[in-house]
Amino acid sequence: MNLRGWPHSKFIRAIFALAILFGLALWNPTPLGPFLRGTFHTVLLPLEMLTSSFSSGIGDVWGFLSSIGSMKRENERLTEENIRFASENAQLAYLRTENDTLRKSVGLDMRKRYDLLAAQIVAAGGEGGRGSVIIDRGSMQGVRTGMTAIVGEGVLVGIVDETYPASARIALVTNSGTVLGGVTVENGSAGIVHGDRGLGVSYGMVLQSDQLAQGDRVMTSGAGGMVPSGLLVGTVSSVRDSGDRLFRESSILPPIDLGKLRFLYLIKE
Amino acid sequence: MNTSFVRGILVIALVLMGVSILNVSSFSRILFPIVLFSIAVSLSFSRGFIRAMPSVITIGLVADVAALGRIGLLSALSVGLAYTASFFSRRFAIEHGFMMHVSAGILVGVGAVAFICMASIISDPASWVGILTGLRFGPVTFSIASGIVVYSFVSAVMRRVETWLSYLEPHHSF
Repeated sequence: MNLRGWPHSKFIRAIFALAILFGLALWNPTPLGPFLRGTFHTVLLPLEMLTSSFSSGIGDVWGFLSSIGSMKRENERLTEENIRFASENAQLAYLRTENDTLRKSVGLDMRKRYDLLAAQIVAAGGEGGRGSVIIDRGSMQGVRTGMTAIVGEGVLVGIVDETYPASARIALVTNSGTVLGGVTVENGSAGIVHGDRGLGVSYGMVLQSDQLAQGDRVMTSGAGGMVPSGLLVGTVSSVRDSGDRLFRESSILPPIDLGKLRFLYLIKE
Repeated sequence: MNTSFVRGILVIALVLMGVSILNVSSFSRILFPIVLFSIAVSLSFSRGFIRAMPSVITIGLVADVAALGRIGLLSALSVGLAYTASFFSRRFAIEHGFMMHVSAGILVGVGAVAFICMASIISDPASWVGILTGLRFGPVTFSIASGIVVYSFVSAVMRRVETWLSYLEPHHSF
């Protein structure tokens, strides 16, 4: 590159470059960013899929080796949990049948099963690396902005915020930009779920008169219409008053490690 | 064929593939900026800041696109670190190889901590929690320790890559 027209001072060049690059970061041009990311991840999708499979294989082996010490304790805990869940599952199956019968009798529509689209996570990043992920399904496969990403029977992972032809970006529930309505299963205390700089999830704007305790499970309320209701967000880990003492707020522990996810489902409708 | 064109294509292909592999396979998300900053500091040492700056900016911008964050942040910090590294005396660097690696590694680690803080602050300017997040004992220690180890490895690889690329100079090609 010919730099002869540039200012000669090293300091001036550095300041000039820094001003432009920091300005770009603060400006965050909306059409340019998605276009560049879309092109990059479309071109490199096969390589990213290959690398993702390879690195997760290494991660699995490493995880197995590092967990050998705690395997016995973990096994005992899981056995106890399994017995508890088997009992709860039987009760839930009975309640579901009862609920369906009651819904029929009062003329309500039956609850719909989600129409899902499976996707593989091929890259991660944003907010220090834990704010967003890239999946191997894009607009060509019917992915649209605003679709909800889940795992299992309904654990919330995030929301699609950018789509490219063969891939899409999902803002994880830990992303600062993720804001949605929530409600606790135990007491029905409504609040706002929002990501915390890619590090965790917070649950705030809960009225002082509502009950909120450690261990409460937070589900999506469906407020706003973008995210379906009844998806599990996580468990309340600690409760405190908001800065102005008008509301209560808490940190939420998601039931899954979002950093170790390899596959997820998108809710089509 | 124009050798600059061939070199340019090779460098871009290498950067694209390298950034993709590093971004996907980093077991820790701090590792990706550390590798990037190590490359920037290494280039600044080997070529000098002025000659290294176009490469540093290019690699930084590609990394910004791959890392899904704000475009410009990683590249700005890379330029800042490359500029800071240019103050290290060449005589000091040559005569005190071990100390040079330690100093450069610490510089890279500090850059990674700054990246965590700035990424948090930019995503939520009203909050100063980002600074505390980045300045916790764990990330700081891990960044600096990783910086020293990773820088040594990256600088060795960069020297080898520079040697390979030098074969494409005009006097080596037909």
